[in-house]
Amino acid sequence: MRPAETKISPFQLAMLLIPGIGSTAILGLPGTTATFARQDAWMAPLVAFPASALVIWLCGRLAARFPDETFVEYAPKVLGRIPGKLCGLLLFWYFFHLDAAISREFADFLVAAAHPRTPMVLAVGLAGFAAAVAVRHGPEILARLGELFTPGAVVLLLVIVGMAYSSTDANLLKPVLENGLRPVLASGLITQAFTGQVILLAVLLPSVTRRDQGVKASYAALGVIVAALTLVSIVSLSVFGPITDKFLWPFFKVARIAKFGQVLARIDPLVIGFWVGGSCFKLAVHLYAAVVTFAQVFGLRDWRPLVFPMSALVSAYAAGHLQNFVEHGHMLAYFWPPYTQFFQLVLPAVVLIVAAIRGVGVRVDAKR
Amino acid sequence: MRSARSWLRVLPCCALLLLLGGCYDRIELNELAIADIMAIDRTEDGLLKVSLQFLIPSELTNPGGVGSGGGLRDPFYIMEATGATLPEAFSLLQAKVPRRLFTSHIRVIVLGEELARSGIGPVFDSLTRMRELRISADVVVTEGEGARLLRAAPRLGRLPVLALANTLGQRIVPQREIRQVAIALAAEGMDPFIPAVGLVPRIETQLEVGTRAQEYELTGVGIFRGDRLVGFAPLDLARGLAWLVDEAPFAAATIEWPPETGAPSPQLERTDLSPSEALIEREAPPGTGPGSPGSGLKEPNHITPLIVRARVHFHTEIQDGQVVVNVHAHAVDDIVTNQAGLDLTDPKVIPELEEALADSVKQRMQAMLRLAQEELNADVFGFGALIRRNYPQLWRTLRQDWHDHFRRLPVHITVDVDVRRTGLTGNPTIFRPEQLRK
Repeated sequence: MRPAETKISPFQLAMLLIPGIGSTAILGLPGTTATFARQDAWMAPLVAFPASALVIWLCGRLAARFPDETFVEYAPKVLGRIPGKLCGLLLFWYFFHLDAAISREFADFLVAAAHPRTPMVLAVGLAGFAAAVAVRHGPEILARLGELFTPGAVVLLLVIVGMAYSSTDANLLKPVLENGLRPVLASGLITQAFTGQVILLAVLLPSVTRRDQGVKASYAALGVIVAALTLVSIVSLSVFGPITDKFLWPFFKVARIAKFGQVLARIDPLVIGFWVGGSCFKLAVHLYAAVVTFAQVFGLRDWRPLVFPMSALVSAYAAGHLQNFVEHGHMLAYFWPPYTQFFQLVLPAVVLIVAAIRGVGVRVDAKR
Repeated sequence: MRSARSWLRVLPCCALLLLLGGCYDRIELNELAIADIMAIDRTEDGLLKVSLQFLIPSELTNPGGVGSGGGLRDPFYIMEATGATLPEAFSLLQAKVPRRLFTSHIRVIVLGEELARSGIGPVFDSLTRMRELRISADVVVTEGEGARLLRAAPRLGRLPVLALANTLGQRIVPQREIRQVAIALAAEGMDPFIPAVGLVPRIETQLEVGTRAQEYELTGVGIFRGDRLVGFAPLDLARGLAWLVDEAPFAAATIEWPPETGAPSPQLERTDLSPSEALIEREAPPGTGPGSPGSGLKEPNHITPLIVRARVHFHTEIQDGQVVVNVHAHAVDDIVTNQAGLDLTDPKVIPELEEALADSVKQRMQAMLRLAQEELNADVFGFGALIRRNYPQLWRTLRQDWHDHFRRLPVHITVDVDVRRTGLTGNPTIFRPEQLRK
C-alpha cells in the first residue's frame, strides 16, 4: 500500500496538520520561549512563520516535481541510489526521534499534572498503543479523526482565552523588545523546531487529492498554528508576566485560573483530556510518517505490519533515552532547535536544489 | 476447535468484568480530607507551622441545633503540624489526619505576621510548585498568629472560608491571589501587598450571651518590601492604595461641607465608627440652634458619595532629567447622603461638590503615598514597573537602587469626579427650603 493510493482532501490535510503539530506546542512552548525572550515571547511564532512557510514551499515544489511520490521515493532519483536512501533514512530517524520526544512530553505532563504515581512506561505505552491502532488503518482515518478533533480543540482554546481575559494585564507585555531582537530570534528558532514539523508534508502530500490545494491548505494550517501559538503566548504572558517562564506548562496554569464569573471555573481536567487526545493524535501522525519512510527506504510493499513494532520501539526510546524532565527541557531548548533544522530545512532544500540543477522530475514550469 | 474459538470470544467479555471494580487506585470522596483554609506561621525556631481547616460535609447538611440533639457542632475542624517546608509540614499533618489531605479546594491562605516579616518568598515557591494547590487562591496576612483566623465562627454562613472569601470579594481592599503576589515578587520595580484581615468580636444578642464568637474584619493591607512585611496600612489608607493600583473600592467616603482647606480631620472617616459609637451619636440630644436639624451630631455637615465607577490612568514624563509619575483618577459618584443640606437641585452647586469630592480622594491617595514612600519605602504601586515599561533604557540605571529613587519619586495626582445622580431624593427630605445651603 503506497501513500499515493490513499486519498485525503486538502481540508482534511489542514485538520490533520493543526493538531498534528500544534497540540504539544500549545502547552509547553510559551514557557520555553519566555525563558529567552521574556515578555516578548509572543513574537516567537511570528518570527518562525516565514521559515516554516519555506518548509511548506520546499515540500510543495518537490511534490510538484515528483507527483505521487514521497520524499523517500524521489530522493534516490535525485541524489543517486545510496545518498538518496541515506537521506530517506535520515528523515525516518527524524520522525522516529520526534515521535519519541512527543511521547515523552505527553507522558511527562500527564504524570506531573494529573497522575503523579502512574509509571511513565504505562503512560507512554498506552499512548503508543492507541496511536498504533489509529495508524494501522491509514492516514484517511487519521484525517477524519482530525476533522472531528480540531474544531473542538480550537473552540476549547478560545473558551479558555475568553475565560482568562479577566485575569490578564496587558501591561505585563511591556516594555516591547527590552533586550533587543536577539532573544526574540532565539526563541523564534525554538518555535521553528515545532512549526517546522510541517515537513510532514514530504510524506503526506502524495496522499492529498489535489496537490496545489493541499499546499494552500498547509499554509492556512500553518497560519492557524502560528495564530494559536501567538494567542496562547500573549495570554500566558499577560496573566503570569515575569513568572511565565518559571512554569513548565504555562497555558495549563492559565486554564486553572480561568473562570467565567461564579458560573464556570476549574476546567483544567478538560485541558488534560484534550492534551491526551491531541498528543496521541500527534503521536499517531508522526508514527505514520516514521513507519512509511522506514518501509519505503527498505522497499517494503506494505508498511502496515511495521506499525506495532515501530510504536513499541518509539515507546521504549521515549521512556529510556532521558533520565528526567530537566534533561528533556534542556534538550528541547538547546539541542533540539538546530538539530531539527537539518531535517526540516536543509534536507528538502538540498534535494530540491540538486533536482533543479540536474533537471530531474516533472518540469514545474511546463505544468503551469 | 469451534468451541475453543467461542471460548476465546467470551474471555474478553470476562476480562471486562474486572473493570466493574472501578479504578485500581481510586480515592473516593469519603477518603479525602478536604481543606478549605490554610494558615502558615513561623515558629520561634524558624520552622513553618501549617494549620489546615478541613470540611466535614455531613455536619454541613445537618443544620446544628435543629433536631440534631447534640447541639451546635462546627462543620470543620483544624489540625496543624510543623515542618521545615510546606510539603514536609503537609506530610507530618497527614500523620494526624485519617484521610488523605486534599488541598485543591483551599480558597484562602493566611500568612501569619511572624512569617510575613521574616520573608514569604520560600513559601511561595511551594505554593506555585505543588500540583494540587490552585494559584488562584486568595492570600491574606494578619497581625499576630495566622492560625487564629481559622478558629473564627462567623454567623453568616457556617463555613469560615466562605465568609472570609466573601469579605475579601467586597472590593473594599484589593484582593490578591497567589499568582499576583508571585508576579509582584518576581517583577522588577514592584513590591507586593496583601490584604490584612483580623478578628472582631460579634455584638452579643440575648440568645448568644457568652458565646464570644468572632467575625472577620478587613483591617487594611500588609505592605511588603521584597518578600518581607514592613508594615500595615490601616483601612482608610488601604483604600487610597486601592485607587493607586486602579482597583478603586466600591465604598463611601464622606466629606464635610463646606469643604475645609487643608487636610481633613481624622474623624471624617466613618467606616471606623463602631456600632456603639453610632448609637451614642444617634441618641444625642437634637439640635438647639434654630433651623439646624441634627446639629447635635458631632459633624452634622456631611455629604457622602458612593463610588459607582472609577478608572485610574498612569503616565510618566521626564522633567529636568527626572522621572515624574502622573496619576489621573476619574470617578463617577452617586450622592447617598446630604445631611449638610446642600441644594442639590441647583446645577451650579455640582461642580463645587465634584471638586470637593475629588479633593478628598486625592488626600486619601496622598496619605497612602506618603506612607509607602517615606515610612515604609515599598513600591507597592509598581511605579518602578511603570517606568520600566515606558523608559526601558532609563530603568537600567535606576533598578540597582530603585528603592532609594522611589523614596524621592515625584508623583502628581489629579482626580476628576463626576456626580451623576443624587440617590432617590433631590433635596434633603428633612430640610425646609429656606434651610438649604446655596
